[in-house]
Amino acid sequence: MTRVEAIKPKRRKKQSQIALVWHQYKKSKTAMFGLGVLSVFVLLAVFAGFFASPESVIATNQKARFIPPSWGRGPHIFGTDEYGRDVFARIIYGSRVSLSIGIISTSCAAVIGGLLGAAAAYYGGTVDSIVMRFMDVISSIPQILLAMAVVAALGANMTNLLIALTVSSIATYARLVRSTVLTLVEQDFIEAARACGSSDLRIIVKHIIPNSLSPIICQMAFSSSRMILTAASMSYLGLGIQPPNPEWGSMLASAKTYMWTYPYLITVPGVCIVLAALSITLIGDGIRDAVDPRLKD
Amino acid sequence: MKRVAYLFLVAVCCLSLVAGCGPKEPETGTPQGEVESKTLYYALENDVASVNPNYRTLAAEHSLYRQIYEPLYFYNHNNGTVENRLAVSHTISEDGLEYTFTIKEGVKFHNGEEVTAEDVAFTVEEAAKSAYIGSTIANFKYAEVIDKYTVKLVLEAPYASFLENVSQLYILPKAYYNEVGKDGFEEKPIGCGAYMFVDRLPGSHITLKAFPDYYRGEAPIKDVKMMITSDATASALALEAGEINIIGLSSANYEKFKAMDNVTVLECPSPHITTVHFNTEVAPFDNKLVRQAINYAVDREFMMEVAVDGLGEVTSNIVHPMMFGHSPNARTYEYNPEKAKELLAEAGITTPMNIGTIRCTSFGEKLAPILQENLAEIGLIADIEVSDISFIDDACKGNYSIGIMGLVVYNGVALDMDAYSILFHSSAIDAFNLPRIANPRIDELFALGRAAVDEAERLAYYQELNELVQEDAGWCMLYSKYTLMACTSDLNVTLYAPGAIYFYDCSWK
Repeated sequence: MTRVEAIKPKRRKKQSQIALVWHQYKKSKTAMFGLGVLSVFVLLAVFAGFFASPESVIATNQKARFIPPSWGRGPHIFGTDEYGRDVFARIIYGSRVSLSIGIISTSCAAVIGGLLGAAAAYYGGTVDSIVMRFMDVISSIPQILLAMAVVAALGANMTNLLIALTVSSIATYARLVRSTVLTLVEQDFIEAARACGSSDLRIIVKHIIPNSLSPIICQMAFSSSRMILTAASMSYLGLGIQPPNPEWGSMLASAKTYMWTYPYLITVPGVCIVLAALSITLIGDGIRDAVDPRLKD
Repeated sequence: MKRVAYLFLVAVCCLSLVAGCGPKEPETGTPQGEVESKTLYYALENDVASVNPNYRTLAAEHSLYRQIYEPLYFYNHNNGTVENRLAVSHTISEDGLEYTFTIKEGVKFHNGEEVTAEDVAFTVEEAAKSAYIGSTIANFKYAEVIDKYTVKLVLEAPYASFLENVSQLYILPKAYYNEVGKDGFEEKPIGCGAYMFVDRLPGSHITLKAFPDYYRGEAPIKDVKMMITSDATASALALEAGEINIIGLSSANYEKFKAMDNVTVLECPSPHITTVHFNTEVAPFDNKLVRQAINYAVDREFMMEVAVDGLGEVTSNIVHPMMFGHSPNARTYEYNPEKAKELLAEAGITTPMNIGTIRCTSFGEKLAPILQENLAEIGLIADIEVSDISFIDDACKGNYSIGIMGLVVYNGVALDMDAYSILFHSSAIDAFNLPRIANPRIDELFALGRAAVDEAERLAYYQELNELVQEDAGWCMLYSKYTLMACTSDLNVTLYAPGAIYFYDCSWK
């Protein structure tokens, strides 16, 4: 009886916790702005096919070069580039690449880094030393340099870019999770679980990971904006997505030469990169504030 | 109170003005100050690896060499004339094996010593030993000093480009070079050109000063600083701000600078090559018809428009009309996808067909998507891979199937078909014979052209060679871009084709 009673309020509390976080999150105008902007980007990326055909992204047109942003001809609301391609189409198809790079590489890094960090903390000793020294090596190399080295070694394409970005940010997660887990393993409920005979895997999956989730989520929000920027810099350096596929960073790089003559070409992808990175950062800020117990009233 | 504060402020301003003027006044009055304000700043796109012309590797180095050194003759490609520099005259023996040059008397090196036949003989001997430029004076046997101002150069076998190439060698001071050695010369090079080398900060700048005893009279501009600015955007900004007087211009900024009052845009044609190249050892490019089909499939006009904003000449003949040996009868290719499809059908290609990856460095980045689209139009599917400079290495070794490259073959040598041997000769396979075509007749024609002394005979050989290369279609020539430069409008500058500026010809308005 007591057990049933104990579960029921816990369930209600769990629901209300998400609601509580959302309640806190809603209070922040900047966080809501971030969420709004990101939603627009995500919707455009998901329903890109409704706004522009995939062919229009790469199809060149000699007669339509450098049309300034206008509703009239086309319409090309962001104008056309040096090949006569519609910039709007390239931006929304490019957002698929840019956003998915941010999300996928962050998730991969979080999962791999998280597992390594948790294992290091949970087992301690030799495992801890080996894993963490390896992470030290990775984190001692500047992120962009490491990513460039990986791409240079494996070749420039989408998969390798994702691998490069993932590898270069694993260390952050491993450290974060390790320190969180180190404080967790000392706690009584883990001792209790162990005393009940739970397996290591069960303890890690059921107890440790859920309890260390909130710092990871914050970190993910921050690092995915950084991933978008790094991916953009990689493409800018010519190590990212290969032409003619659109990506914000490479659009920025190719527009560089037309900075004076056709400034909209560099402005549009530049503003998109800034907005996407900013909105994700704002969301991260919002989540951090919302889960911070000190801010609860 | 406010007024007192105001007065105090004015007083302070006046005082500081007086104080500021005080010591400066005499400075601006002296000629020293005047000269300093008239320094010419030139943007050099790459740092020079060596100030010694025998070790030249980059185009940027020529921009420096032509200021501090002097050749025997100057080939003015703007009007097709040859002007005397150190040489007064020359004679060539009938068998084409002996070249006798008479040089000017009283010409001085920067250290005050006179230029003699000894120096010319030394220069040619050194150049012949050089791994970098030795091939430009092939067949050279020995030099013989006849008297103080006469030197005879003897060849093993006739070499038609010899005169033009040897005439453009920069004469070095024998006595000084032997005294200071190669390393010492690198630190303080001496020539007999219009400008003296003052100093150099690698990666930053090179300072030059007018040579007062220059035999054609002292240069009007006394001080020159060559600033190393590798970024085109940065140098354009510096020009706009008036910090630099002469820059190499990127085509994207052409319209903008053309419209500006305080900037003059200079342009001249150049035999620069922008080309697609096929590896003929890889299917389907081993089939001539496929290569010809692609030559018909590319939209050269559009490519030139996108890559260099239309500032060049569209041509499908890889040998530029400016070069000796260009044949007007060589096969040309125009944009004609229908004909391309017919040729593919004739070659027995079933489309769509995957033909691998279009590879290029950032040079071809803008061209690759158009090439990809043009190929898709005739049913050939290709990916794009833009990589770093390592592609050039791969292309030379034949690790590619289709590539895009920009090439310069005329650098400081005669505008002559002989220079193209680095692209077409079978010995250049594993170097810049990128299509890897070994055509015995082409090799033979190069040899015949070299040995021929009669101009008309040489031209006939070279034109046949040009026609063969066009028929083989290992290259798909796209266009020759113009050399573009920009300078501040307070400067008189002459740009010599294919892209040379002499500070000696510059003057302030």
